[in-house]
Amino acid sequence: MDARADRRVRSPVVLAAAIGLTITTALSLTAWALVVAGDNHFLATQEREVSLALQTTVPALQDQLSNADNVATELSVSQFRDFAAADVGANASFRSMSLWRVVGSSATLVSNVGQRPEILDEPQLGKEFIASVPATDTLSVLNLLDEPVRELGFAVRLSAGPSGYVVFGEYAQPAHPHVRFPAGSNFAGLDFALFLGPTATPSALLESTIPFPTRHPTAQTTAPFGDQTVTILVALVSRPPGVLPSPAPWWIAGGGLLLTLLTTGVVSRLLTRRQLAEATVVTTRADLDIERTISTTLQRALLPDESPTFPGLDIATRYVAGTTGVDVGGDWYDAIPLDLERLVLVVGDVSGRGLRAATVMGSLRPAIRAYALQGDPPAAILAKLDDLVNVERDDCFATVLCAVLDVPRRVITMATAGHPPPLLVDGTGARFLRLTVGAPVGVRGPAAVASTFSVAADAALVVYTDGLVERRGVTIDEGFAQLRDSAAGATGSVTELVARLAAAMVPDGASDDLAIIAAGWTTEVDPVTLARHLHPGAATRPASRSFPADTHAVAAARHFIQSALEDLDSEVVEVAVLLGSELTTNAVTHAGSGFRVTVTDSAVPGRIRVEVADEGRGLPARQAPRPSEPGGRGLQIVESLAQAWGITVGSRSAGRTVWFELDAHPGSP
Amino acid sequence: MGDAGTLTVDVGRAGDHTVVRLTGEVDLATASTLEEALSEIEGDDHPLVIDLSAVSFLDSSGLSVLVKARQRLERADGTNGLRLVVSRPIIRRVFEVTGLADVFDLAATLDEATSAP
Repeated sequence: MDARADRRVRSPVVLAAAIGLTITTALSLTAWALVVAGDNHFLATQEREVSLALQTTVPALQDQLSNADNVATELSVSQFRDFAAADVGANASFRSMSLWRVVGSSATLVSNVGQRPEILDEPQLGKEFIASVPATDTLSVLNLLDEPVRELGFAVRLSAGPSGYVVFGEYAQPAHPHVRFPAGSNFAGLDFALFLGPTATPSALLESTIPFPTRHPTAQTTAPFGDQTVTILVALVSRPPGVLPSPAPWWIAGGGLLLTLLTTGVVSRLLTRRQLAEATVVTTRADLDIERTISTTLQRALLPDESPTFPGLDIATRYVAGTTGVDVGGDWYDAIPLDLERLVLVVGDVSGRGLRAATVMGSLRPAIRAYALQGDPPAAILAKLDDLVNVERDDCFATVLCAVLDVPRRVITMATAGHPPPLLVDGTGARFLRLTVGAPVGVRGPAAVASTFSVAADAALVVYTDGLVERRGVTIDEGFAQLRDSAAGATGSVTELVARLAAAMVPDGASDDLAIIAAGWTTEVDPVTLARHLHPGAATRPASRSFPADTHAVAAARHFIQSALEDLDSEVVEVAVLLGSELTTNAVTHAGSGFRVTVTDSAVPGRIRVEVADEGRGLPARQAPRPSEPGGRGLQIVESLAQAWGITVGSRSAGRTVWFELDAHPGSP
Repeated sequence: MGDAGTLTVDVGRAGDHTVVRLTGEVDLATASTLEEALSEIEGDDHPLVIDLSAVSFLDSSGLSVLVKARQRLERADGTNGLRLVVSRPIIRRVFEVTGLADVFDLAATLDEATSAP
């Protein structure tokens, strides 16, 4: 996968990851905010409740002390003692309650109820405290937490004069500050710690319902406590229902990360798969294009470049590429001259399309050509093709029709391997020639049997592939009938016939590929055309020209021969020109008639042949002249320098032909 | 191959020799031209050299004229003052395959033909 493709996968994955992480972060932060808000709200509520509970405690203690002071001031010390006794003891608020007489800055203990006050252990501090208690409605508080018994001292003074009574109560704190409030208490259900003073100093811990210090979330506030301050620390030990648990943001973050990872994984996999699929599609499309190019090239290469020609026949061909499908079919035609009189017409159709069909066609066509040229008759050619194609091995087969046209005798010998019947058109109309049909090439079945037909002088044979008669919506029998009817009215050349059939049968282009080759008998046979068929390789031969009975025609004939041999070495041309000059000299001097010179390649490979035909009779003298005799050396030169020479005397009409042959490439093996 | 079917005959002297220089093609059409030109040359004391080095083509028609000339110039003692200059291989072959290479006195160049025998 290249870098661009890699990027095409990576960016959506990064995007998915970014979106996932953003959502996760947002949800986590929201949850965190909700948790914090919930916690804060809950803590604030607790603070308020603890604070309220505390506020109810102080006035209760203050009332008891104030009432006791009032009793002492208004009544008597003994009555104070009776009054105080109710508030002192194991089951009462105070551990001790004492009455002090304050005059100015001096304080004197008057009476004490309950335990011995611990304030007496600190006489100086105690007396200063008592003396400094102001006559206000604020409770004075003394820290006695460091004493043997953890206590708080509370004092009240009612009279504002220079002397008066101060009632001092010592309030025992629990020996251990960690306490549990009974149900029904104002503090029940609350998680908190109370510290005397404005800070949460551990040594000033009054009491707590949780182990302190705590790992739970806390909130802290202060509340007035008499003339002092109490610090309230509330903790969030257990969340009430409806409040988000504190790990919720982490759960959300973890879950979000997991989801993001999963999403990016899935996205990445889907994109990679899609890309692979796209790449495969592109590759497949390219492969198809290449295959189509190869098969088209192959097929075009296998079809003859131009319509073949043959003496005595008028030949027309047509190949129509199908309009459906992208691949070329395996249709082909061929015309193989065997000699001056016989031409083999072949038409075939390999099943399937594309490269395979074109390849099979490419093996069948030259094989048929080779078998035909070595003299095999049509049925034998078709039989031999079975070695080349096998439907089980190659997954395709071929229908082939092979016809040998004996032109001068007007005889057609044909065999067919599963191919549609050939059409014969002449002055009387058109008809299909019925053959014994063999199995298609490559399919086991009955062998093809050759049939022979004699045809009229104006006959034309049309062989074709089934694309001509098979069309959608039309039965094959209807197709054949239409083809026959279209051909029946035809007049003119086979080129026009083929054009007419194509126009009638596939007016809008063939859906399948189709190949047609037609050959019609003509009356004229041009000898040069005839000769050219046997030697299609030479550019300048065969060549033939008539010359008048004139001495200057000899030089003209020499130049004609030279131009017909211009592809050969000058040594060969010089000899040919010399010998040609001798023969034409003889024609002019002895026959006294015009003559015709024909230059061809010989039937003997590697030789050229020059013929000089005149209207003379008999055979020229061939004996070598004596040195003193002036003439008669022409044929001596011919005999000496030609590889072969001879005289043909016409049997029916006047005229003779003298010819010679030369090696075209002397010295080469 | 030179001009089609044309032959030029120039008669001149080279020292002691009479030189007939032929240019062009010698065939059925031009043989008569050569024959007329040669018939005007008497068998005098000067040896005759026919220079064929500028002849591009020569066939049996030309041979026929040369054989006739040779017969006419034959001396009483059977010797003959005629020499031919033949340089083109194909023309030399024509003389060879007809056996005339042994009959005529052939030289490869004019200098060779005009030097002392």
